[in-house]
Amino acid sequence: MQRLGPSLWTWDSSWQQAPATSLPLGVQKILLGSAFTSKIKVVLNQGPKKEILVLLPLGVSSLLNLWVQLQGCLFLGTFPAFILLFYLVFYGFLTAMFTLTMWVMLQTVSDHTPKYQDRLATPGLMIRPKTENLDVIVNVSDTESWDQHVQKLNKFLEPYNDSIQAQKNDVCRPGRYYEQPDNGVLNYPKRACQFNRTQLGDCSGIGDPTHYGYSTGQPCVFIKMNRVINFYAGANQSMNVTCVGKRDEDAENLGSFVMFPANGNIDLMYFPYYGKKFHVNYTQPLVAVKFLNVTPNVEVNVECRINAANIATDDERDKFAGRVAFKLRINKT
Amino acid sequence: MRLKTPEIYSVELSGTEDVGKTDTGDGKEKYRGLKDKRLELKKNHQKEELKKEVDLEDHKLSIKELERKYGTNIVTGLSSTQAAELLARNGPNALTPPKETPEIVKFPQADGAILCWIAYGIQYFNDKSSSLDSVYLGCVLALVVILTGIFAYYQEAKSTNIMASFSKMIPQQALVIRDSEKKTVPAEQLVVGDIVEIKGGDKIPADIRLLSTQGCKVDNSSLTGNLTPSLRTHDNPLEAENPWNKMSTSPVGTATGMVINTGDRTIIGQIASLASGVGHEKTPIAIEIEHFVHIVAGVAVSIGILFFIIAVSMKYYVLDSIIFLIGIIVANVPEGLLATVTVTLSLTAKRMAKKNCLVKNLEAVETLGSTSIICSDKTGTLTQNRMTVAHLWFDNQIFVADTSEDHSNQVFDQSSGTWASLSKIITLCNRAEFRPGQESVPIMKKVVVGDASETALLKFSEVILGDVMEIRKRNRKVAEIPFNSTNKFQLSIHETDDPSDKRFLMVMKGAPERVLEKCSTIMVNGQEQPLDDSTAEAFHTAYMELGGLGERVLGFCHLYLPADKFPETYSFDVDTVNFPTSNLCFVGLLSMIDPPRSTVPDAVTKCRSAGIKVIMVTGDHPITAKAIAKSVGIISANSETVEDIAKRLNIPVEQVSKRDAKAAVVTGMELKDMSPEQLDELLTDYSEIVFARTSPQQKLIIVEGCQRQDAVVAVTGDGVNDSPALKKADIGIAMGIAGSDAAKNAADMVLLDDNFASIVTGVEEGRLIFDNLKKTIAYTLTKNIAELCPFLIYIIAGLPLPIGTITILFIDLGTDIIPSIALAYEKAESDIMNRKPRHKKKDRLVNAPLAIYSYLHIGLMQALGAFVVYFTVYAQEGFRPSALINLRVEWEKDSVNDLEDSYGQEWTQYQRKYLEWTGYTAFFVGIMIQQIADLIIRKTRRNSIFQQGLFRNKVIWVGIASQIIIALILSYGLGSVSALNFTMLRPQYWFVAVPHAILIWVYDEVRKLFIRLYPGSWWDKNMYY
Repeated sequence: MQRLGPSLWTWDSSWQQAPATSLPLGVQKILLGSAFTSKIKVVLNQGPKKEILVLLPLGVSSLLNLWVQLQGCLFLGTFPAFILLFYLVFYGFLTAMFTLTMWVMLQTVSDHTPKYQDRLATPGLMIRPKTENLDVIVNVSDTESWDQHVQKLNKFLEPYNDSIQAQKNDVCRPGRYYEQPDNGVLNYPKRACQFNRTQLGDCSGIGDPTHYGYSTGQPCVFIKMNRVINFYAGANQSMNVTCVGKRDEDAENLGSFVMFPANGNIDLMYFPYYGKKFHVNYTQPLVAVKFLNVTPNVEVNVECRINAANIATDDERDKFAGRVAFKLRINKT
Repeated sequence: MRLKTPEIYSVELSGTEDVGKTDTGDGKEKYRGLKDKRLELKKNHQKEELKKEVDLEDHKLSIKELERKYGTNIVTGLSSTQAAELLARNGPNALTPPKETPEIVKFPQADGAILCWIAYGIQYFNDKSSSLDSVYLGCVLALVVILTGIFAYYQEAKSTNIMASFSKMIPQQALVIRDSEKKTVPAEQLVVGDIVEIKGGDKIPADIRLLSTQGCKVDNSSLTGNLTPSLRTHDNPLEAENPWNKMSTSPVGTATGMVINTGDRTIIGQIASLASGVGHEKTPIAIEIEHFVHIVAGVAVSIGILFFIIAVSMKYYVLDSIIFLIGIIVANVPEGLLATVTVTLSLTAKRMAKKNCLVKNLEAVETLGSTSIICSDKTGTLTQNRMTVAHLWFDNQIFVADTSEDHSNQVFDQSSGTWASLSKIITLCNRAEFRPGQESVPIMKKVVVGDASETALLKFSEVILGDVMEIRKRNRKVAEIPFNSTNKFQLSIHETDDPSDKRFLMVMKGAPERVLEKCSTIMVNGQEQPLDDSTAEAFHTAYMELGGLGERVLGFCHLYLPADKFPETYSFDVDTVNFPTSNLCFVGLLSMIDPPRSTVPDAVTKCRSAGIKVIMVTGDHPITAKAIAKSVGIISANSETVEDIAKRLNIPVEQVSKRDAKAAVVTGMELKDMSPEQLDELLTDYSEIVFARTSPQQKLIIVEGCQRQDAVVAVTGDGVNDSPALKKADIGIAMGIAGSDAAKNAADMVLLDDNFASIVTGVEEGRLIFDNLKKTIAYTLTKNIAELCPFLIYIIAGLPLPIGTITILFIDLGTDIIPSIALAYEKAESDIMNRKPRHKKKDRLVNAPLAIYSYLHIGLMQALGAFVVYFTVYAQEGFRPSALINLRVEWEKDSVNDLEDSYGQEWTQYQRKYLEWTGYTAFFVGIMIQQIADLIIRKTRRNSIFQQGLFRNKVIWVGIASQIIIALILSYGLGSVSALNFTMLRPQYWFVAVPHAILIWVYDEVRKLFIRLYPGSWWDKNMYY
């Protein structure tokens, strides 16, 4: 039997004896007639027939319960479906509220520059080809082992093709920042400086039968610096990337290498970066390192870092702040 | 506790037999395997046996029969070999210690901790440099589990000291006759048939049958609970003068006796094993908490497994899926709740201790609140525990004496000459005296040497007449026959204080009918009149009336001995009785009662309105019991027993319809013949019940009967004999002043002032704490959803993890602890003493509306609010919400150090990690801010916060302050400790969730408004928790 009163009182048995079954038949018919209350039907079905037929006096409490029941119906109904409706409305309202606050929040965020950049004070360094554990493993005899690297590099270097660069980007004056201030009016799209693939010399991969040196065991690894909006890398002084073996034995095994552009220089003209939306055709500067005689069949830990006045490379926690460490292994038979 | 046991108890010779007896829990010791069933049977059998009346015949046997029965000789004693044999056969004369199996409370996080370590193990084998996060988490979880376990064990250990108090009472040495010699042996080595000698001050070493005694008295009160020693030889050995029971003390004299029972077979041993054999029922709050843990664990495990399956089918690694599972479980389990509940309960316990209810078992705090039946003792609890003169009858009139605690105003007519004579008899015919050196003590509080009735008379006359000792001095006593049970009167002969009157005055008091027999005249208005039928009739009417009030009636008479026959020099001889003891002059009657405490009727009324049934259980006479029950309201003024109706309608008792009677007075003899079904019927049919002349075993039967009605039963008691019932009751209440140690040990609560009214204040506190625990749990559950949703979203939508498991622990065990305790200080919303006690099976602590409202309403709002803060942090740092979706895999890869954000910037792994921690902190702060709103709304369940008063509970504000301060410390103070995963959060992010917090408040106010406007409606039923 359902509870009709407030739940606090239900333990006294006298309370449970006053459900709708004690109503006279007439009243019940009315209830059935009004039929939107499936719960009352349930009560009637549950009640023993005998009791329904015996007309009990209409007690005050049953009247009260009826009133309460009707009140409930009038106010919110007793359909199980109503619960669904309620949650629909309630969650609809919550969604609306959430959307509204999110919308208000997004109004505070600008389209072109992030509100805060405190986490990106030191840009990180990264290598290409990008591999799962930052290790470049080349089996010279096994074409498939380096072919995927080559494919990736081809794809990566495509925007740097001289033709594309000439078509989209400006020739800038080297040695100084290429600033394009807004001066009160939005000035965009901003122009980017050309970084031609040919600048990468032996590592450009243009007409290169050795596939960036991978087929000969003299692989090229490309170093790039993370883009950070409005970051003036090098603080107006020239900067370059240098690579060393991490430990002494690594240095021995590493052998000699050449860098393109020469000395691993990165020019100031590629800075500052104005963001994806403004700086549409921006191609970030690269440094290619071609390892000429790495001791084969040995894992070599290489660390490259940028030497720039305003980029610290000794962050204890962030192992990639201004530097990048990767493993190089050339397998020859 | 367990280490000490070998010292306290001797080696068990009959080990297996004892195991069954002292088993405490059902099914706890499953490991015992095959033996178990047999022991179980034995145990049950034994329990039944113990519940029956203690059946000792030995006190009825003659000494010769005894010697034959026990194969001993009262002069030579047992031989040493016999004694050794018996010792080997029956075991030592010591109580068997109870065996306790500690039960470590298992909480789901135990599994969490193990899962964490497994996960780390797998991670470690895959990658030696994997992060230690899961190890930290595992450690924290393990710590929580261990602390919880220790706490639970500590609670349990406290209850095991019950046997210790029994053992403390065992005497160390006994003087025994063996091989015709007196030997001193350790009491543990006593065997049945030993002849022991007892000196004054000794404790009786075992159950003994007295053989000879020299002025030796024994104090059995710790066993029978009756403070006035029963003088009759009774069929019940507990009430008989002989034998004496183990553990009783003999204050004076010496005696010899034969040991008839030792060890666990003594009456006290049986009661002790009964007390520990009675499984202590789980307290209602423990059941509720268990129910709650089941709900939470059910939700946690089912969501966990559901998402484990989802994760696996979404092609996550199994290891990752396990980590998700841990996250979900940690998010769902309210780690701090157990501690919170304990602190809450102990705060209430402290509050109750101030109101003279000392709670020993914390959980009992709430049990008292859900009490629906109180089985109360009469003596000392409902009454003042001292005889007091209540009525006088002289001059054919009944006068009422003041029985209040201080006897302040005695208003009856004291001008009559009869009163002058009566007062003289009362003063003189009395052996009781005030103990010297108490001049400054108020009369009612002075210590008196003498029995209860004489004390009452002495104090009564001292109050009315002044210095009784002086009066006695002026009327020098020349002879005296003290009271004894055959004579049933007391007589003394005095010189008079009138120097011109040389006659002796003989005064007598005693059982009224005996006194009347000896009288031929009666004094009316100071004049002697012949005692005719009509005056005798008047006497009988008065006697019956006073007796009917349950009072102890005494008759008083006197005689002036003629001076010619008894000159001043006459020597009275009380042995030959050389003076007349008949044809005296009857003066009056005086009746005494142990009056009810003045606060009790009020307290009983309060219990009534609180829906609590008060049942009186006493060893006293039914008439006395009924009279006291009527005067305190246990039997209300207008309700009648079957006997009353029969008397009123003048029909036989059998013809009275039981339906007409609301009250019933049942004696122990009637109860003995009742089947459990009949007892059930009795308990349900009558709302006002008094049990009189009951034995301790029957008290247990009554408690069990009440418990069969699904009632939560509170039992009060003071004697050792009450301890089984106290233990069996849902809440046993021992008396702090009159109670024995064993009773106090068996009880869950001790009433420091022995006052029934204190129970009522306890009930009020207990009910309040139940309401407040509901609020606390609702508060605690709410944030679980806000902690859970991040994981679900993380798994399904692939966002960077919004909140870490360690951060969750900082909410559960950090910011949320003090606020949830603060809710315990919340005042009641309405008069909690005007509603019925909760039904322990229907009114749950955590019911469906509570869980649904906390989880699906407020919890969800909170989750959304916290997500807003999270998204804000990410968006303002460069990752717009759209960019975050399905970013998880790339985001978490250690090798990806150039992850692009919405603006084209590239992030290294550590930069992202730091941002993720900032996200954790943001989400944490989001939850914290909304938990403040949650805390405020949880202050009430029905009333508006503004009706309740926002600032009335200051502790809430302490809680809010603590929340904010802890969060500030975590973010700004410990932001640099990487293991904690907190970062310094920009100040504005603390306010992002405020609109959602306000929404929560407004929504809840609307909910409460509808509940108040439409009681009983759909809304009320589904939204009121």
